[in-house]
Amino acid sequence: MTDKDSAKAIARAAAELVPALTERLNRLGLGEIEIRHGDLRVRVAAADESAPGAGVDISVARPAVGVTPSTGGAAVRRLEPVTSPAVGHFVYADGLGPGLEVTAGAEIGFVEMLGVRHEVRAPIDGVVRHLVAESGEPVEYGQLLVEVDRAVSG
Amino acid sequence: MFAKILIGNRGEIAVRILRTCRELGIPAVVAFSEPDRESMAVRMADEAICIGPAEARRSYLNQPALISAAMITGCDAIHPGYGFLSEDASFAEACAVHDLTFIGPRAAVIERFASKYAVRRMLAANGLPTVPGSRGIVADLSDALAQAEEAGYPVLLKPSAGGGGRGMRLVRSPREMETSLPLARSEARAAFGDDSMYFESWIEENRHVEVQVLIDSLGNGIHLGERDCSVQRRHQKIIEEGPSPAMTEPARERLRDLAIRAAAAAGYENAGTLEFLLDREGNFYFIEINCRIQVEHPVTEMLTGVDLIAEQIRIAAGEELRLTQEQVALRGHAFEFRITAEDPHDNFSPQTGVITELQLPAGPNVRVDTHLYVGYEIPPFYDSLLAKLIVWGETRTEALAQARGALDECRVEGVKTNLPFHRGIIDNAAFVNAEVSTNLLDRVGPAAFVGEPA
Repeated sequence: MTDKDSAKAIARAAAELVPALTERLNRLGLGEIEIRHGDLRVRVAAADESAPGAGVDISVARPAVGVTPSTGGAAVRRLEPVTSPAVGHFVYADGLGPGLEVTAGAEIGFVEMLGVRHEVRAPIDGVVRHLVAESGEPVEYGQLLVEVDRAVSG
Repeated sequence: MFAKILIGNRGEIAVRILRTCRELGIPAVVAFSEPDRESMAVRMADEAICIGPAEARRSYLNQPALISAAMITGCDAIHPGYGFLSEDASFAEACAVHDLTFIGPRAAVIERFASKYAVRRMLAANGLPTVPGSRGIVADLSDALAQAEEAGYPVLLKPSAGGGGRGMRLVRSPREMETSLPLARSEARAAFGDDSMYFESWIEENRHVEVQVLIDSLGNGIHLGERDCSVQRRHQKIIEEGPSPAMTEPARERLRDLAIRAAAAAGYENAGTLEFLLDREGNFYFIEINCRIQVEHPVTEMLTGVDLIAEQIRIAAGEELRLTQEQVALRGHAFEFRITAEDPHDNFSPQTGVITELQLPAGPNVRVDTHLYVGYEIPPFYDSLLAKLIVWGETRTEALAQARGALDECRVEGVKTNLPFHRGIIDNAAFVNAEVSTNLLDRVGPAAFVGEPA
């Protein structure tokens, strides 16, 4: 990540990630949530560690972006990170935005590396939640681009 | 000079290159694979960029990823380090196509020096003696058998595209040729994508001596003395030293002089190493030229005070050599010990783990090039080199005393290392008396040099 990217990532974390994590922490009654991406590490902990946390809906997805549950219970991944498959410039697919329903395999965008397009596809059926990257932004391999909210049935 | 350099390597050499970039005031970007995210080079870097997953083919050997990484971070040059893409002409060419300078010889030069067999002929024509062997690439098994019969066994089968000892096979009889040739071919194909083989007559008792050269793009060349890399296990160097303790001063002078003249005449460019076999009678034979910075380059740096990485960068930037041959002063004696995550009590099997304790030796004549730190987890995907311990003394005896002290001081916990092997060998009479030939460890077995496990 470039310095500029780091600064952007921190700003983005403060503006989007921290409120989102806090909201989730409270909603689910977890003890703490930690997200790491590159040098960036965001950890949000509840004031009351003894808070009940039966349903943990986040788990470690992949090394680049991990969220560690601090309580037991069945791990059901809810927010699925979509990461960059290549080093290059990322471009969103037309019409992609927060709230858009996608099915597994749907095109999220592509990373152009030396003129070759590396497609980025939705890993699961769900709803596009956060657009973390900006269109046209240079991205490194494994960089978080988008989060897809797992469609919860019933 | 370059605006910014991408370091396309890992481990100690990435740290080493980063240091020189800082000294030269050139910003640098460390390219890394996912498991190297917590590596020392990435931690030290002002800027780093992930280029791919653990698998080298998709990261450190991934040409488009490295070039793209250099472009999006605003670099105008790539230092490939050693191994990986450091001697890959297609990569040097791809860099040039994207207006990036490959820090090493230009693609055309690498291309010309890529075929070991062609280089042997080219440098022989420029006055270097070569080991007798096959007439060119062996066509097939029957050709190999006929030619080996003529040259006499044993012979050493070598991949023309090769390096680093891979695909090399000692063949002692026609029967061995029948089994070894296909095996060596498939090894070479897997490692280099090219299975052409040639052979050299095997010089049973030999030493490995190599001359370091620097040649700028204007054709000015200097040598920086030689290194003796005779302590090897299965063709992998373990200890290097300079000057060669097995040569007289006039012989050394002659070797250095012939090497730099031949390399310059053949049109070589940038830092390079000409490797020679030295037989018991003191005859030397040219084997190959390495178009990269070598693992053991610090031996030369200790003797000359010249930063070889800085010179590589300057030459690649088109600068004229700053030193003339007369200005290169070789002083004293230096050793380098390759400390690896290998268990000498278990057939040098590679080890992984977390470094729990680290005590590195220091002192006025001691240098350690390493990427280790306490808490560092050694990933299982790459080579086992952990650190290089380099010591210097006015004489070989003094340097050996330095080595003993430094090795005793050195402690690496959390993973088994070959330190006991190093400690054993420096007190061995054959090593102390400079009588180690390249086949000694494989003939006697390294166990003879390692004490019982504590």
